[in-house]
This record gives sequence, structure tokens and C-alpha cells, in this order.
Amino acid sequence: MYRRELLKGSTETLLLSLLTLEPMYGYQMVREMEKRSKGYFRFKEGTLYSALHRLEQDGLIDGKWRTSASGQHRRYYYITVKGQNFLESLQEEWKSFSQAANMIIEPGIS
Amino acid sequence: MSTDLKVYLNSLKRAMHLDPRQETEILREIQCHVEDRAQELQDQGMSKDDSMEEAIRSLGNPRDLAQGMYTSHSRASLGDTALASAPHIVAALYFSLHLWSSFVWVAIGYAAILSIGVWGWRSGRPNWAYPWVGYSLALPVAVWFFAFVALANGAWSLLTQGSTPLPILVYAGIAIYLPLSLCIASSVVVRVIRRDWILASLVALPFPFIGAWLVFLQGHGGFPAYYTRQFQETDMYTAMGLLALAVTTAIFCLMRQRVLRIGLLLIAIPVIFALVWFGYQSGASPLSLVAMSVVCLAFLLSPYFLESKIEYEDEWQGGADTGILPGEQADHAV
Repeated sequence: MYRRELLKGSTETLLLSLLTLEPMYGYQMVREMEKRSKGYFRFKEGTLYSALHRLEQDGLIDGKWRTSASGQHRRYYYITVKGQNFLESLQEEWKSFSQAANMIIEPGIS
Repeated sequence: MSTDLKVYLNSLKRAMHLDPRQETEILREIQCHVEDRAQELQDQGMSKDDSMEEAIRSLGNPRDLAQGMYTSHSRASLGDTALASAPHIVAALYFSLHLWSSFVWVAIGYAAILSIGVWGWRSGRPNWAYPWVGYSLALPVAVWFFAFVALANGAWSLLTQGSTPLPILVYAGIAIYLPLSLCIASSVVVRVIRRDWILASLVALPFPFIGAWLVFLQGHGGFPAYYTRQFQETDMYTAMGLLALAVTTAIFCLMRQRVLRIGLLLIAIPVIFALVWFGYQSGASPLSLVAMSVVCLAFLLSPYFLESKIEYEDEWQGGADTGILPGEQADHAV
């Protein structure tokens, strides 16, 4: 439950961060997210598309139909300049938040 | 495409209530996703049927997905919001400046509204176009009122005096006009309901107000008598009601949750309608105001009841195998 809430609050950051690596299609993002987080992040697949379309409507990403190398048609998502700027602000916020949280959760380490 | 996937995608399509072009893109994308997932499961040793079932199940309830998509795609820009509210403001101006009594002004205003309505209708029917379509239909519908009154008077005169007050050619014109305009109006309304019944309610917003105004006029001696006596006061109430419709439409556009939009229309409009009627008939009893609100509510809800009676012609047949991509050609390899 707690993990789900954390994921919900970080969806935009995670999706935008993934798309800075390369343009991806929805299913690829689900797999990539799972792989890179070693199974920690498992997107509810239906909500992934709602989130992607919301980001697209906000102009943070752009979706385009393309033919993959294997010849299959997919809707690839690209991060836009606006999305990159937004992601930078999210990352800054995330760093500040995690540092502050760590100072309280693990006071001895910092 | 498997039957299960087709059923799932059609459930999704019916629940999304979006622009058909947006729906096509979304359905194509979801279809690709399910087929990818099913293929991966088959590669892991699962049977074809089981893999498809599992891939569909992992997407969740189509209604939840549709709701998420509706919310994502329902944000209106301020420009679109202003455009959606504009026909109500124009109509309010016509009443506040009493321009409705001038044939020339009505003709100019209606031509402008009809042009914008038709343009919006033919340009993918964005949400801002629906109020314009509503006012485009308002004049033909208002003419029905006069046509029916003329027919009733003609029939009564024919029975009691053996002659009609208007030339026979007028009645012949009415006999042609009524079915023809009814056919066009119902065709438009059915198309709007197929997309989303709440948009049909948005189209119908001015109808109770114009209808009540016409009924009030008819009850007070018809147009000539009204024109010379008390139009200042009733025009002010009508204009205020139409301005309230403009504000309600703007809020409707800015809301993203479908349930909130429905709640807004079904609560605000009957209340505004009752207030306008109270302005017309200051002696109206609370019971009659409640009755007017209920009539207005029933009218706004009628597209919802009609929706279940209308058959969907455009079932999703799948598109992944066609090689034709929505929006643009697949000319890039990634």
C-alpha cells in the first residue's frame, strides 16, 4: 500500500526519466521500469496509459506512431524540451526531499 | 484479433466518450500493448487463449481505463473555454439589447452562429463546437413551435369556419419543413449522443430557456403584443439566464472529471431555469418552480435515456494488421 502511494507520487518523474534514455512505447516502458528497478516498480498497466496521455496533453512528452526495426507499429513517446525542463525541476525537488527525509530517517548517516 | 480483445476494446471505446480520432489512437495503442504482452506470455509457454486472457486482465477494468483517458484528454484551454461560452454570451446580448426583435439582426447572428457551428462540426467536433451546434439547432426548433401553432390554428379555423387564416401554400411549406428539419436535427442529435450523451445535454442547454420564453410570449398575446409591452423586463431575465449558461459552460469545460461535469449540468441548469421562470412569472408558486426544474432536468437527461436505444455502428474492428497508422505514416524506423 505504502509502495503504491510512493509510486503514485513519483509516476511523472519515473516516466519522464525513462524517456530521457530513449523514445519508448508503453509496453516497453513497463518492462524497462521493472527491469531497471529489479522488479520493485510494477506499473498497473491501465494507469500507465492514462499517465502517458496526461503528460502528452500537458506537452511534456510527444507520442508518434513509428515502425520498429522488427516491422511492428508502435506509439513511441518522446520527451519534449518542456518535459526535460520539468523533469529537472522534479529531480531537484526529489533530491532535496530525499536528503531531508534521510536526515530524519537515518540521522547517523548524514 | 481475438474475440476477447475485441470485446475489451469495444467496452473501452464505448466508455471513453472522446473524439473518434483520439479513440482510434488509444484503441490502437492498447491493442498493440495487449498483443505484445500476450506474445511474451506465449513465448514463456502459455497457451494462446490463456496468454490473451492474462494480457487483457493485466490492463484492468476497461471502465477505469476509459475514465483515466477521459480525464487526461478533457482539459480545455482557456481559448476553447471562451469559445464554448461565446454563443451563450452572444444570445444574452441579443436579449439585453432587444436585437431579437429585428429580423436583420437575427439573420446576421444566426448566419454567424450556424457558420461557426458547421465549421466546428466538420473540423473534428471539438468540445467548444457543441454549444454553437445547440444554437444552430435552436432557430429551426423555435420555428417548429410557430409551425405547430400555425397548424393548430389552421386546423381549428378549418373545422369551425371552413377556411384557413393563412394561404394553403404556407401549410404546404410547413408540411415539407417539419419532417425535413426534424430529420436533420435528429441526425445531429443522434451523432452527438453516440459520442457522449452529456455533450448532447450541452447542445440542448438553450432549448428549455428559449422554449419557456416562447411559451411565455404565446401566453401573453404572442409577438406583436409582447413587443410593445413588457419586453424590457423579460429580456433582462432571459439575458441573465443565458449569461448563467455561459458561466456554467465555462466551468463544465474546465472540469476534467466526467462525474463532476454531469453533476454540474444536472444541478445548475434546472436551478437557473427555475430562477428565470420566476423572473417571468413573479407570482409563480414554489410547486410550479419545482415542476419547471423537474421538466428541465428530464429534458437534460433525455439524451442519457436515448443513448441506450441508439445502436453503435462503429464497432472497433482492430487496426494493428492494416498497416495504416492513425495521424501519420509509418515512415520512420526506431
